[in-house]
Amino acid sequence: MGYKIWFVKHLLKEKLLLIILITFLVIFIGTVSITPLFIGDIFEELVKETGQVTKYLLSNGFHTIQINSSSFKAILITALFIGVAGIIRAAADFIQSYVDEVLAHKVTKNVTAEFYNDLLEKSQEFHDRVRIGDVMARATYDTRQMNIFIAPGIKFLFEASFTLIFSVSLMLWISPKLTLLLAAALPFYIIAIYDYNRKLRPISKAQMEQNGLLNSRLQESITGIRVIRGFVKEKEEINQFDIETDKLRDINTKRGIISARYYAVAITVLIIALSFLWGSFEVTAGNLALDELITYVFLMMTLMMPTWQVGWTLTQFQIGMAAAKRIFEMKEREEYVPESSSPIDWAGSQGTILFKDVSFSYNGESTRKKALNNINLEVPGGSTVAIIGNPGSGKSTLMKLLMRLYDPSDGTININGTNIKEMALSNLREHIGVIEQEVFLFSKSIRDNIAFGKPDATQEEIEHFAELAQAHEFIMGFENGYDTVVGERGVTLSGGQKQRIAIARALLIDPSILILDDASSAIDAETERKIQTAIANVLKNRTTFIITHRLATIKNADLIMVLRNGLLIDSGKHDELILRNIDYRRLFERFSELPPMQIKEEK
Amino acid sequence: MMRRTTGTTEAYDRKYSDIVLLSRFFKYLTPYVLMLVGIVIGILASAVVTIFPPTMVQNAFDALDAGEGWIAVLPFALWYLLLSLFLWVIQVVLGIMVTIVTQKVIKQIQIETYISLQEHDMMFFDTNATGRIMSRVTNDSQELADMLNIVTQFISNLFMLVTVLVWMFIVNWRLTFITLAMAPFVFVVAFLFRRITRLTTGDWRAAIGEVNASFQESVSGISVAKAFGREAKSKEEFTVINHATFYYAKKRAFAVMGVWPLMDGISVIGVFGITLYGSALIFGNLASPSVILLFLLLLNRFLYPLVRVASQFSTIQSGFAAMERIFSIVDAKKEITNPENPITREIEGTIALEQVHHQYVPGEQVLKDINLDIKTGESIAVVGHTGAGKTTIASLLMRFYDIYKGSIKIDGVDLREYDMYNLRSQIGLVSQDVFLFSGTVLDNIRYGKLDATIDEVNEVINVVAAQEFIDALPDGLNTELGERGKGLSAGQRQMISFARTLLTDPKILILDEATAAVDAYTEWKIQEALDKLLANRTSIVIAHRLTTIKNSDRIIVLDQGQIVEEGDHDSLIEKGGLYSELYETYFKHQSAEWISEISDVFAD
Ligand SMILES: Nc1ncnc2c1ncn2[C@@H]1O[C@H](COP(=O)(O)OP(=O)(O)OP(=O)(O)O)[C@@H](O)[C@H]1O
Ligand SMILES: Nc1ncnc2c1ncn2[C@@H]1O[C@H](COP(=O)(O)OP(=O)(O)OP(=O)(O)O)[C@@H](O)[C@H]1O
Ligand SMILES: [Mg+2]
Ligand SMILES: [Mg+2]
Repeated sequence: MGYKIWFVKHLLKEKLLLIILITFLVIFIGTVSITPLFIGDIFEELVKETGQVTKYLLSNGFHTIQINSSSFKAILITALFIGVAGIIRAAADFIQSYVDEVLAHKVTKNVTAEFYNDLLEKSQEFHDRVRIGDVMARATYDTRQMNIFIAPGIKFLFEASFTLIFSVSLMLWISPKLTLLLAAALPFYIIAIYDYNRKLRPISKAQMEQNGLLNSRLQESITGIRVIRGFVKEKEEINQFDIETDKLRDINTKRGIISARYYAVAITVLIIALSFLWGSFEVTAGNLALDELITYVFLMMTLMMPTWQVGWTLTQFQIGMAAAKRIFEMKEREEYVPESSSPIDWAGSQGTILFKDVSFSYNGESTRKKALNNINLEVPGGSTVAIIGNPGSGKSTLMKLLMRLYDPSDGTININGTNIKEMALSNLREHIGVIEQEVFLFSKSIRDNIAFGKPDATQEEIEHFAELAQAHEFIMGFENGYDTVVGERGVTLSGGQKQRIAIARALLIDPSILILDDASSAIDAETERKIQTAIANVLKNRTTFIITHRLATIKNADLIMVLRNGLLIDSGKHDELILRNIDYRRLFERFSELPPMQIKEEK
Repeated sequence: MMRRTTGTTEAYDRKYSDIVLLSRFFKYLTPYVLMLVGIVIGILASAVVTIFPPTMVQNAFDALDAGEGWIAVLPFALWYLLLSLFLWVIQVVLGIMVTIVTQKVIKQIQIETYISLQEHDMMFFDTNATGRIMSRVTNDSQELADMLNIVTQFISNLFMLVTVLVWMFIVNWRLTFITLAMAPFVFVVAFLFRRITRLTTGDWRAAIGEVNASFQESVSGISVAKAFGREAKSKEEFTVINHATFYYAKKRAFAVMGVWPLMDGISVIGVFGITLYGSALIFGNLASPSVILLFLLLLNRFLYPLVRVASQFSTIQSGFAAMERIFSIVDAKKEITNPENPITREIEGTIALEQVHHQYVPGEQVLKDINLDIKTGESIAVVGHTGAGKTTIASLLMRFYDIYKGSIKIDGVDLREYDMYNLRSQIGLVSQDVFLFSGTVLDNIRYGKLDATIDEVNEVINVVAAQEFIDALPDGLNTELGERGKGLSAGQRQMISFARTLLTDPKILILDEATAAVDAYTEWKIQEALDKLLANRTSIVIAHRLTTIKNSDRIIVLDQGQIVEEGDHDSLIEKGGLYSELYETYFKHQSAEWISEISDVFAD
């Protein structure tokens, strides 16, 4: 499916609105086109009756005039027609303009929602790659451009074509000969429009892209404001932004100039003059009545508007379509985590986990080193597993594979004997609670943040888990308690406060498997210990993964995995590892007296 | 002016009078006076020229009516053509000029907003969503600049109105009065719609900002949403916000789309009147039939501008709403600014905190009566429970926030008297929250010192023990990172951020949990290398891993915003206070005793 079809489908979804729109457009155009006819009639009447004065009196503020009664009646009736037509026109105009706007906003709304929903479904790889600013540009600016194309674009398009049809058929009726002129001009119109289009297309695309770039820059400099301040890079940032806005300005100016030079309008002017001339010739020759010529010229003039409208709509069409393409392309990138068609339900309460030949590298086939290489391990249900390793050794990656944020490139992961790929994503994830290494809080109230995974949690539950995470106390220290709204990503909280809220958030969903990815790096030992003691009960019978650099926590685990640069180099208990694993010993070396190594240092 | 009750306005939003808005808007235009003069001349010219083509038609008709042949019509047709083409050319030139000025103004507004963002207080960013701020810089500035287009049309229509009116008076003053009779109605309608448009537009734009913010946050927090299987709920929430925008858009459309047809309806009365009264005049021999033709032709050129002027009046309101939104953000109050005569000098590195009190939210004391003297070259460690206020001290030294009470002095001079940019550039902060920019690893390390040589870069890379992993990256130092440094592990990012600060060679170095995400062995390696670097500069180390701080000259223990203990490691241990408690816990972790204790709990 191409983006054009996608766009049209979105339009067609609003059938009712479209039907109303077109109906009232036809009424509107009809009344507009008929008016010149009435004017011609009046004129005919006037020419006929000029100078014949009768007793009919019309009084007004200035003076009294006598008018021929029958003529006046005819004129009065025609004028009434004009009036009624005008009122119908105004009403129809309102309805069609309004409905068009509603249609446009409805489509925008649907497109935005579809885009949003789609983004949420997209794989983590996708999200690793895109720039939020660019996504935002698509979600806002681009949808707005589509919106403008629909209203007033589509209205203009219909208006222009209906006006053309009405006016031209009336013109044909009055004088087919004169209308030939229009036919002769057709090729010129086509050339003008084709030429215009050709110039406009690349610039519209460039404009959208530059806009996306600008947005990314803006977004990054707002989110990174602390770093910018800290390094006093305001001037550089401003300069960069200046360059980007300059580029956008140049592109926009170029586009503006192209559309100002749209010359189809000049062709219409030319035709009006020519038909006027030719018409006079016909009148002189007696082939055409004078009032017919008048009507004809009026009709010609109504063509000015469509010519202009076509130009405008074309411009917006180019932009709207470029926008639709951008949204569609991002949306259509087939980057979803594949879901099993007949998912197997989560079985058992604890998680016995089996990593079998698990390998993974980011960005698929790229030159990147494997982040994980051939991991094999069985984790008994209910055990506490510590994962240690140098930065970048693949600890977080392994956990992300477990949650299916990514799928391993080789090997399988089984939980309670079921390959996780065969479970429904939602089912898998609702059984796993995670405290991410870099805690992300939403700019909502603390309550909403804790209840994130279980929106219907009661206040007691929330408080209970906050207490376990040692967060209750500091939350109550805030003036608004649980209703305190935190800043974006939780900026208004201290590092440890964020982590504790994240811990409460993960505990609240009552997971079978809990992952603590460096969850206490910003928490002091005392508080950490309190948390550990408090949650020990909760963690009983659950498989817990703890990634940490705190030696004590490591020592205490049932099973320790030692990773180095993507390889699982050893696993076992503290007492075993301290004797045989050099990586493991290194961690403790400085702090305690260690027993002698039992196996030779491997190279 | 009426206050809106929708919850979508920001704390910094304010109301401006129309005069203020306009005068500020025109300030943006002043650099383009020449262009503007050109535009006005163009408008004038087209307004004057615009009445002639219909006159030509009228003359031609008179000629034909008098029985003259088409030859007589020829000159009129030619003139019609020439004048119309001339009009078109003027329109093209006008269009180009308006585009150029408009784009320049948009750019100007955007850059000014951006500059103001760079100057805003940190508090501003703490409390305002990125999506909403962005919406103002990009969308609202666009809307504002569209004003120029509308104003041009407005003026053009106004001129046209006047010229056509004059011409009509000349041709037939009686008919002109009839035509004018509908003007009051038009203006009453315009005035009514003015208020409605402005309000509904403001609501609509605010709702768009809301959608932006929600969208933006959902996308940035996507991994959390996924991890918690919250997609469905997020979609639901977004639907509500998205629908609100639709609702306000509809409301606005009703107002904006309503003006024009309503006025069109009124104009019908005009046509009706002209036709009727005009016929009467003709019958009364007070006008010739061609006059009424001319009037009907002119009527389009009179009514159209009249109605336009009136309805544009309400469109301009929509621009006013955008202006208000932009100016509000530009004018948002800035507390932290440079003093009048800022001090710029190389600092030594003595720090003195005197009775420092701080609060982010009124009434919530975060720091209480902090007194602290740090000598040049001294190495200070700050420890304490989470949320004690350690990071706050770092932020205050950087002057990200101004203290509530007391004073912070560097080399004996109050922080607020320094040029803050100069000061910040001499203090290096490795913050707890790591933020890397998209771009290469090298770009990121060099961020604070763009002209650093590759040797200097390699040196700091070695200090933070990052050489190994950088070498393993696909393109080494030139590996492209995604936003926030995506493509590296958290520990790797932290090392890069550390290196970035070290490269600037600051006089005062603040390490806020700078190695919290790296393993003990790597940390130890970093520390070995760091010791040399720290030797002759003032440093403040904040850490929860107490192994990190053992070597410090002095340890400050913070608790609930107060300094509770101060001294070196040995003396503090001896004292048996909070520090020894923290220390005990930290190391007790490793004792066999604690393991069995916690195993007991597990075994329950
Ligand atoms: N920008 C902010 N706006 C409002 N309150 C804040 C802000 N930053 C910090 N706070 C509050 O100030 C207090 C101290 O926070 P601070 O970040 O200084 O703690 P910390 O000692 O660094 O803790 P941690 O060890 O957890 O990082 C906390 O209660 C926190 O919620
Ligand atoms: N989104 C990503 N795209 C590409 N490569 C990545 C991405 N995230 C991590 N990597 C790379 O994969 C490897 C493993 O990263 P991972 O985050 O699993 O490390 P980690 O063991 O958790 O380290 P840390 O202790 O620093 O958190 C690293 O070399 C890292 O550079
Ligand atoms: Mg990690
Ligand atoms: Mg902190």
